[in-house]
Amino acid sequence: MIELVYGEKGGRQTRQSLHAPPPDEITDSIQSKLLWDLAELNLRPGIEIEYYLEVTDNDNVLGPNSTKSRVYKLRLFSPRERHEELIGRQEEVAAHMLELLAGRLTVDRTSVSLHRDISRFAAEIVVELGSLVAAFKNDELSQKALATTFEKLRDRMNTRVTREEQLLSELEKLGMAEELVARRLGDSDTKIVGELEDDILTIGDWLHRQEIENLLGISDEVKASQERLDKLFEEYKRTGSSELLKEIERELRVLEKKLEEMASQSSSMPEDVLDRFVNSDALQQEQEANCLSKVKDLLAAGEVLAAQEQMKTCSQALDESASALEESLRSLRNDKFSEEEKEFQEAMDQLADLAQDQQDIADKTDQIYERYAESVSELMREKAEEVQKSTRITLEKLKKKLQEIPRSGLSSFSKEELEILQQRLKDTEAMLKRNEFAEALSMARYAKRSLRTIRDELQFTLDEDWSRDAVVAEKHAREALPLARKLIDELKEATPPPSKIMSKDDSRQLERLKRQQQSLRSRSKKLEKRISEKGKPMPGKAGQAMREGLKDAMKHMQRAEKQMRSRDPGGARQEARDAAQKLGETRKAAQGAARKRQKQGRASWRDEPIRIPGAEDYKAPEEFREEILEAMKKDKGPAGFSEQVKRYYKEIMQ
Amino acid sequence: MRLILIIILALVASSDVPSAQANVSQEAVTAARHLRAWQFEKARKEIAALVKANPLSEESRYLQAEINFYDGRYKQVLSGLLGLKDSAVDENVGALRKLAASSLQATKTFLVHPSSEGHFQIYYAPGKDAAIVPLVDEVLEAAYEALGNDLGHRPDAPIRVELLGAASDLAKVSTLTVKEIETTGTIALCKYGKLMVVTPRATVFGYPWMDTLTHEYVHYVVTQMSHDTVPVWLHEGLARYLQVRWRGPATGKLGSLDEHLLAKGLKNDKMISFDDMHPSMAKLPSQAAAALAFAEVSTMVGYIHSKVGDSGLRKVILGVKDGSSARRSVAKVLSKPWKEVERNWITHLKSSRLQSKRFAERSRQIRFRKGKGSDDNVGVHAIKNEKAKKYTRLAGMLRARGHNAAAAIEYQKALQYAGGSDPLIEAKLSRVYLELGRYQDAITLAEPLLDIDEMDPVPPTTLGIARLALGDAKKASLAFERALRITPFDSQVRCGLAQAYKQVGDKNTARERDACELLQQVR
Repeated sequence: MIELVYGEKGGRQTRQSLHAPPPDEITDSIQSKLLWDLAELNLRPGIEIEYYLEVTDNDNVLGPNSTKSRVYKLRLFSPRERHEELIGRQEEVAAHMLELLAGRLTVDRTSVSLHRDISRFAAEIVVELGSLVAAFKNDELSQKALATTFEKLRDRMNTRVTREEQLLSELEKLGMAEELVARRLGDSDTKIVGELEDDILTIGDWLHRQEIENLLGISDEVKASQERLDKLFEEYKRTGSSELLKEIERELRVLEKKLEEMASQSSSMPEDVLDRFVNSDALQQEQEANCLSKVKDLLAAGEVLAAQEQMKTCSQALDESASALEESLRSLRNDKFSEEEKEFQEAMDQLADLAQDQQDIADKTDQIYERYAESVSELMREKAEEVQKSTRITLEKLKKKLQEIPRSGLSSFSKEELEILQQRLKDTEAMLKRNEFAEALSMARYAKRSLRTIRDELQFTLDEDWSRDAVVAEKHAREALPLARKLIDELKEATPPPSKIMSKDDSRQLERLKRQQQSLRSRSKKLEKRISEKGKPMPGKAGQAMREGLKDAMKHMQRAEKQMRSRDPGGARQEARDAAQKLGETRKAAQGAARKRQKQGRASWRDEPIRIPGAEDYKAPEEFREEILEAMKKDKGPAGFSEQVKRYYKEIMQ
Repeated sequence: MRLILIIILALVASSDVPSAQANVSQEAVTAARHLRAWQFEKARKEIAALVKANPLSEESRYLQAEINFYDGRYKQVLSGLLGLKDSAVDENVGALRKLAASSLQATKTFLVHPSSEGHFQIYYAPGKDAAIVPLVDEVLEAAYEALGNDLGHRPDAPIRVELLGAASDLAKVSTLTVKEIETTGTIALCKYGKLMVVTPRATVFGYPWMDTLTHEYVHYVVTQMSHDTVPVWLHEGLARYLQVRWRGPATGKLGSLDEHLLAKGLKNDKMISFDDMHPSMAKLPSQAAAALAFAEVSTMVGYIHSKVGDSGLRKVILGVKDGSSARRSVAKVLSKPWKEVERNWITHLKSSRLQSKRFAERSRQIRFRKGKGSDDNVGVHAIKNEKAKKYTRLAGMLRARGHNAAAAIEYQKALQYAGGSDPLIEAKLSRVYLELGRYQDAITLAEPLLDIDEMDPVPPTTLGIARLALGDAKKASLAFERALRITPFDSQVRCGLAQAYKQVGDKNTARERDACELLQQVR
């Protein structure tokens, strides 16, 4: 018997059977798989789960023997944990400062000793503030401006304490009349109180802001859950699978938990006392009218379509809440943190303009391309049959050749690439049937790229890891390449170049679009530069998100310009669209980054079934792999070290 | 009402056409007309006779179900319609069946309390609402008597009153949706021959529920008197004007928000004309326009009353019943053409020196849901002066941590910057004074706040506690009674009132003591 044993470090252990053999089973090796639903573990920030496999044999003579694998640990690292602790400390400091203020407002103005007590208390708060400032430096979720604010606050407080100490010593030494003491202390108190009030409100504003940002962080997780539910419902509609239904129910539970978490998040820095009597029944009714309960009820009643519709209603309401929260945050930043908010809003407005203008360019390029593609189809109508016939033969040969490639000879990366390649060929075929020759040519080019990548990877692998199947695979891949080239040549021949087909108007328009694209890229560059300027504060990591997004968008813009210059509407359209998409994504990313939305911290903490991958499962991203292969071809390494260099590249890709 | 109208049309239309419905009798049409006109006793007799003569006909069965529905016999409605298609009687069977089923669901656990004089049957959910049923009894019986004298109409049979447990239940027992209810703040209806009122405990902070009960009862009386011919503007005008009759004479005293809206409307010459109110107030372009329109009609009724008294109002209603339009009926009773009536009313309003109250627009709405965060009570954002806002906020923070003396100092600063007057700051400061034992200071601040926001129970509650502490039980009881009109489930109010009543020897001491105990038990 094989069991997975797991539990919180130092806590209770749970056992889950992976394999319970039948009584007559005699074997010395077993393979099994378990999908471990981490949602059962009640994961929370900072938790450490230990897990291992335990194998027990069926010796019923001397008793079963067991052995364990080594213990693995799963620790939920969460910057959020530290961040929330820091917020707690800020609230404590705020409470102490309020106590200090209360003392100051009501203290006997004639008493030097009472003022000494208050001053001592103030000095303790200075120390607290200092410790907070140091802690902010290690908290990646805290805004930089927050640390600066607290630092200044501490300095001001320190100055006040020092000044007051001097005054009190002076008063004690001089032994003045009570009236004079009261006046001096009164003046000092008035000044200190004024500053203290402002400091308390500043902390209050920051706490309020952090509260909303926290809520928005959870709201992002809620959104992800909503999207997942949407997909699950659609898939269920298609397949009717009972497993999917279970998954939907599980995801609903996850969503409910997150909403509960949101509801329970309330400011621990209360700003007032509620004088009006609250009817608890009304609050109870609000909970019961909860939208998600209706979804659950409908699911339980087997009315899945109705549940999906209800879920859409709930999603809408949740989206509205999220927008309202964003607006609250924006309004708060506008009101209380105006400089950085202003900077941020101006940059966002410019980004919005860029995205809109880029979309216009993409749309116009699209239109030119549509006309071009239509012209090609029309022109090719007579030749279409002939072209289809010749290309079909080449396509069939190519597909057959690819089918001969033994899968066992391929790495997992190549297998994936082969699937992509086969899909591209299918798309090419479909486009040919529809006489979309320009699109078919573009797709065939992508297909050839994939094939070359597979061939190169196989050649590289063979140097290290010879196998018969790999040899066969490489041979077929190599033989398939000329067929791919032939297909492209046939399509090229069949497809007149854009310069010969595009009307003069379209040609001129493409030239104009090229200039517009250039100008847009230049504006993007200026915005990027402005954001990079020092002294231009932006909330959270919004600035960084914008800079990175703009850089990527500008790459696409540049490529679009190049395609426009060579009068290739197909290429230009793709790049222009990619640039527009990138700018849209950048806006969204900036908005989230403005409140320090932590992608890694939250995205990794999802209580959905996660497969914990082993090392063999890692796959480098496609583009990265292509780049490595290219580099590998060029870089043979110094003499005598070529094997080590090859091994190095291979390890990178893995 | 619409259901009845359709059936009448269906019956009338079918009676003109030789068809399968040739057996529809004139009696059925008459019964339906009487039902529509809220002449329940007549309709009841006619329907009984119809059912006796034609027990199986669709129309008889439908009408019987209809009267059962009005009587609240929802189960009998459903059993009586068994076997009939939803599409029968021009789709009315389906609609009635659905409404009866949801009404049954909303009221299935209800208990019943016959009122002290037998004029009302009060249905309510077991539990906390038991604490207000005696009050419902008292208010409605008082209204019955007062309006009976004013308008000369006393309904014969006991009137069904349903005290609903949630706003969503109002959607179940009517054709309104939850969204409409929450958007418009509809909290009660007079329909289907009964009063349906949402209990104040279903709203977050309560609402003026006693006036609302009477308001709906006025609708009942006017509908029955006029055979349901009075248009909405006059209905609302009468209901608003007379809704205070359970507690005293109708003086036409306007709420601060109404006064503010009227003053603004007059000043800017932007009143809603009666033409614009036709055919329905719901057609007005905005909520603000609707609010102004409602304020106008209540003052119009007040104006008519001031000219021709109770008998004049009675004649107006009966004139409409007899076939005149509302405007014509009013004109006749006042012996002036309508245009002149309208002009004179405007002049009357202008001469009333209505004040555009500074803080009237802060008047609260009925809340069904709690808001986000702690801003329900603070309302700091409504304070215009920045320094006043700042000190109010600080004072709130201090008070939340029990630093009341310091909070008082900050509130005082806030009040200075607010020009010495701001109801929010004053209410807060009066509460802090209460907590500091400075009762007279609390009273001085709270008293002027009573008329600023009729929806706010805090000032009267503060006054009640302070006066009780100073030994003035009589005035304390008046203050608590005022708070009771809004928030009857606050044990502080009920227990305070019990104490005050005990000290003055009021006959309702036991009632308040019982309510106090009940609310403390079910907290």
